[in-house]
Amino acid sequence: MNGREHDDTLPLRLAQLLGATKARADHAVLMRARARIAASAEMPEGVRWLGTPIALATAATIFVAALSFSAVMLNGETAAAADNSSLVSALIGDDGTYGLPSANAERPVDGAGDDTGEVARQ
Amino acid sequence: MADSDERELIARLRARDPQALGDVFVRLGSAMTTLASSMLRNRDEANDVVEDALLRIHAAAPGFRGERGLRTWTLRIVANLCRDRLRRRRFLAPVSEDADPFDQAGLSVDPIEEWDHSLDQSVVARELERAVTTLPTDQREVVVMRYRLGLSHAEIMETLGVPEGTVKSRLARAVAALRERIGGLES
Repeated sequence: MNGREHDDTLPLRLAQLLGATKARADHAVLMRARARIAASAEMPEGVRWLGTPIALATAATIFVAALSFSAVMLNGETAAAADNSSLVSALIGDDGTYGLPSANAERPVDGAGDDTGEVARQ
Repeated sequence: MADSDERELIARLRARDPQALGDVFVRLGSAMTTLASSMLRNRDEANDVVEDALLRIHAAAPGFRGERGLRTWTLRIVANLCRDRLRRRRFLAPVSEDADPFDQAGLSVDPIEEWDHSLDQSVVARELERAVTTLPTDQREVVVMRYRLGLSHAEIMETLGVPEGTVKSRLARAVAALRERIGGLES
């Protein structure tokens, strides 16, 4: 610890040197700034608006909304696809047999269907 | 408190008077450039920052009511832009230690009349500038504002938006570091 711990005063010589050190302002900087201001003033209002932070925020909001909307649409599509398959089955009258005769199908009345494997006698 | 000239200039700025920005530059251009050059150590970058600051002043002027002084408001814009640049610069190659601190930054030293001629002023100035360069950004900021731009503690406080105690402690740490680095010049 020393007495200078909270001393925020530089020795005179160093303070003088720091005070004597400067950078000169370049007038071309002002010219460039004015040219940029003039160019932005000539821009159509809509184009100028695109350069504002609000435009960026709006674009980000629209992007997020579009992502959310497409996610919702995709989920709905999947559910609809599942529904459609059952609807198609219903429309073609598929009862789960896929067109094959089922075990409890109605038997023919004339016995033509009773093929015992014997050759018919003349 | 702003003087009548300053109030009039602020009113013209708010009204988007095309000449007002030029008057701000005449009045504060040197301080703006000195702050940016001292912080960034690069003349071109400093000029870019001053240019951007002028655009921000033009854009924000209608909302500026002058409660703060024009100088502190302007320097705050420059200091913020410098900090943004320094943050981005962390990812770039560091500036060489051997490079001349004045040439690089576009700084120059005016002769001091009562200078002790047994010491070469330009040599000491360069050594001091190198020492200032090694300070952390927050300490360098207060040293430049206090000693190079001649701002009071209250003005620094207003410019940086930090409490006076913070300004004093940053300044004390910076001064201690500079004393340690170039202690032989104190007497």
